[in-house]
Amino acid sequence: MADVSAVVIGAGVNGLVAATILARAGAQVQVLEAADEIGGAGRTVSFGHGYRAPLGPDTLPAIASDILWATGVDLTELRLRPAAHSLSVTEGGRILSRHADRVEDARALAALDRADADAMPVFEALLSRLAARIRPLLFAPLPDTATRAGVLTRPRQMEAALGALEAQETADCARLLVQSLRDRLDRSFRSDDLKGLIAGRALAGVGRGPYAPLTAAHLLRPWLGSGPCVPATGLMLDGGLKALAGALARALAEAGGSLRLSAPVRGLTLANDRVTGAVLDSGEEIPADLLVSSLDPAVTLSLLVEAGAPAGDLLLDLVGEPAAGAPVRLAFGLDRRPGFALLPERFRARPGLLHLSQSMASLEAAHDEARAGQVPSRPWADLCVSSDGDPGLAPAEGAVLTATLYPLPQHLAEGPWDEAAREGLLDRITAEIDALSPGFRNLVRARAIWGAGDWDTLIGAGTTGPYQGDLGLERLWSARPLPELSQYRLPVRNGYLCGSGVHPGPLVLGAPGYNAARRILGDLRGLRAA
Amino acid sequence: MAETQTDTSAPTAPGAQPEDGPEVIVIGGGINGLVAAAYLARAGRRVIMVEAGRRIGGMAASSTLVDGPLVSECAHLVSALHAGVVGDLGLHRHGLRYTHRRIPTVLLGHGSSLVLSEDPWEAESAIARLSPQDAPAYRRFVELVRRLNEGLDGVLLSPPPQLGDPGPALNESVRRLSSALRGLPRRDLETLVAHAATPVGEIVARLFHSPLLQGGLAFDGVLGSFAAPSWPGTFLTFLQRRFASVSGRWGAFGHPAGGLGGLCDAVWRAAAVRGARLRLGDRVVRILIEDDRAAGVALESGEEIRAPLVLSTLAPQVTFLELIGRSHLDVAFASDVSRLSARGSVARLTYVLEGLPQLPGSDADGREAGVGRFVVAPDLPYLERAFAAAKFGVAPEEPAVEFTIPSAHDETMLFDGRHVATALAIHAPWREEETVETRRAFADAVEAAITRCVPDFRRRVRKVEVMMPRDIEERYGVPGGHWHHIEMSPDQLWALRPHPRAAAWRAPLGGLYLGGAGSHPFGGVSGLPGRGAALALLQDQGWG
Repeated sequence: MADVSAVVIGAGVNGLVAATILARAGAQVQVLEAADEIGGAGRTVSFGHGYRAPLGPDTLPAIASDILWATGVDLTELRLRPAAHSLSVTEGGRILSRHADRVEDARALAALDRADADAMPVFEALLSRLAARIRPLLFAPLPDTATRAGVLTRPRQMEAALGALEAQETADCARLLVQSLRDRLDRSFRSDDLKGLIAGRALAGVGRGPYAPLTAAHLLRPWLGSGPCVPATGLMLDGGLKALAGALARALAEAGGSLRLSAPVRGLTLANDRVTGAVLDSGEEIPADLLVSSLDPAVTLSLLVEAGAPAGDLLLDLVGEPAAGAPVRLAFGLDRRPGFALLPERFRARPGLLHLSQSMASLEAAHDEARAGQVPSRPWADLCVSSDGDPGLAPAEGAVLTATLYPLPQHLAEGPWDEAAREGLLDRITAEIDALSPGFRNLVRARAIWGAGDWDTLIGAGTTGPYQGDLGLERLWSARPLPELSQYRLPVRNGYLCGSGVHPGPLVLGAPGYNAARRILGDLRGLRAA
Repeated sequence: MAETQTDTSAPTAPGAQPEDGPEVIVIGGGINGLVAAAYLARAGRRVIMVEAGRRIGGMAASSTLVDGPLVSECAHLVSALHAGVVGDLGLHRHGLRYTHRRIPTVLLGHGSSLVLSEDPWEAESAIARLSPQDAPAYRRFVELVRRLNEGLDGVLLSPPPQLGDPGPALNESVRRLSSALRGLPRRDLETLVAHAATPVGEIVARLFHSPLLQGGLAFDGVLGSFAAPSWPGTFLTFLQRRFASVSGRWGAFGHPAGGLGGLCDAVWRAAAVRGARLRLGDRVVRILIEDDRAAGVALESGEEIRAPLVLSTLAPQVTFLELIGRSHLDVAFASDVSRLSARGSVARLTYVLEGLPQLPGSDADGREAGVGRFVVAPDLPYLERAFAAAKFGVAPEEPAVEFTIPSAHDETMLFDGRHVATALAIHAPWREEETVETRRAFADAVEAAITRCVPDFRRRVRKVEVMMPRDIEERYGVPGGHWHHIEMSPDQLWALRPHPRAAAWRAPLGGLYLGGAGSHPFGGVSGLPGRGAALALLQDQGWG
């Protein structure tokens, strides 16, 4: 395959996974990254006074060791570790802790509600068993829907996945896939605080509240990978996603691929329904036999349309795609590490991941507020002292605290996300943190907020945010992003999509890149055979 | 105590001997009980239908206002009544008549309105006057929905798979689905698979520009459901509501003569002429279970009726937990049934009006004034706001409403020379306690919502009766006051309706069938659950 040259746009995890797999198969791969750093949605951004912050996420999505294996990255070389505990502060000011250690977790839950502590292992075992049946579907090649049999492949796969179970287990699994978080959690648990905590974590990126159908399936997310899984607290990686991107970049180089930073793609060149190359901002043209884009599908498609491809209708279908699940990210550069005097003593030194959590009813109401263009009275917030895992983010003695907030409206009913709106939100969250860590506000030297329209300039994600579209179950498989684009193929003969905007989105780290690379290699083999 | 006991004196079907005990007991005399009884009687089986109320019809009955005309009590229009049921049972022969078979849907906005005639060309030109770029999109949408519904017909009529069954039953389900959908062109099949879970609100927001058209179409996806138009599953509800029937045309709505009770009378006649018997005014208090099989029913009067087969059309929660009892069910199943979601969210109002209000579009094209299904749902955010309140048990300030004025086209419906309007207000909360004041407050909100679109409505109102979901629960014995017995959400449809182990109309106990609104495919006035249960019973007995 050494005669095939490929340009991959974007050096995020998905772009790098796709590029590395193609390079290992022998293609001449060049990755073009607009930023001066790799990592895409997981890279770090400087926000003044020498502070940098990771764009997110603070805990990793599910990891599939076979994806990394296909790129040559050795998982054991990465400093991946379970978050020992996560804390959540409820609306009522109550502190809940979950622990990676099962015995400790059961003890903490029992302090909340003995029956819930007993229910948890049964609940998690069901999720784990069901996820094991669903997992292969995420990686199965998407059926060619040019035939009726192809269209019905997915229902058939789902059926096979649920087959051969005991009757009641089939019932539980089938309903879990389509019911609401509220109905599912009410069935297993009693504590409103616990239900709110589980629901809030499951709803990251979903854009809907826990009362809506099809939200319970998001409970499966931690189990969808084939690597380590710590459902109670989550997995963390020293150095964040950037560290993983670094390992992938080394694997790419080893496979003979090349990577150019600060090389934003301005346009594409097209001839006879084929992409012939990419044009950089500098005007330089880079010829290629294959184009693989990890950018948002709408952004990629508009590059194609500008180059003259007849895909305007598809583009119209994509624009206006709601992205209610796109988070807002905050970063605080601090003089020194904040103390958390109001947390129980044993957690003060290393609070780990901290949630400002809510009951399911409040989460539902917050989603309604966001839908109506209002900043929710209490958004869900994940807080993390990012510099604990990556001291290089802050100048000596300093610290960086990051926060991920959702749900927040893409557009405010009152007007644009202007400076005043942003400062207002920063002030509110500063006050919330100050309540847990008195004196926090006096430590703040720099602060930043990224969200709504910023994702496009930060990571080329259009208006859809880092997940490149909401994560509702109905937006996976052939509906991600549109039936016409769901085969990872762009509407030109040699163009492909490999970002989170295609199946299975950000559910499993690097999975869209992996699936896209396999689709491309399959197509190339098909061409050779023909 | 039984106060009335009516056995019909109708001629019996050949082979059925009324002096023998019944072969099948049908519990509940609503539309589905009637349809089930009629199918069973048509197959020559000895059937007795037991209804707790003093008359047949259940939620599809007609009743009188004080000394006034008969009006439909709950449901007030026929939309999804399946043409197969009408034909199989010969309902027209048995007296089913419509005063109007293809009434237009009139969308009412604040200062604008849109008459969506059942004639697509008329509808298109009306849309073109309001929002030109929406007219061609509407034509394509109507065509798509018509094709999808034609394709889905086989799915509604055929049994869903029983997921809990080991072996071939399960492996067959997709083959069966595939064959049920065989009429659907491949591209439509693809659309259906890709968009089955897409919320109706997203679909109409993508297709149309006019907020009035968006709100009015999305209304049909949430009427009768505990759902916002932004929720997955609402497009399927939309398709169900727009399921062609009355005239064989897409989404036609009809007014039966005599209200919905007139339809029920016709179905009962179809059952009675084939020998079905009826016990009115006596409540089934227990289903007799012997050796894990149904063996008959015990009545409130103390009497027992024995029969080897029982077909219940009551809500599944009532059938399993009240009539059978947990001691005959395994723990997991009983617990699941007790958690079926049934959050009723439709209030029913009946108005007596002094004169006909000035309704938009009423005189256009020589149309009779007041004939139509009037929908107050001016835009999508309106529906979202209303549901955002109702889901927390709070009455919305501005409810969305569908109303009709049956007296406008059927003068037997006039009440002392006054008009009668029937309204369904959606996103009504289920509240433990309803008082005169809480009902009045909700009725006021509904009246205000209509009056914002029809300015002279309020001053014509002389009298209003309102039933909140809690009232409907008490009066008709449906949990949560839900019109479909259980929610029409994706976790309670098809093979999951009402439960994976009680799908395809068969309970996990021998000889017991479920034919109410809580069974496949859906409630409403379709008659399909009753038909499905009767046919499943006949097939299992080798009587088909």
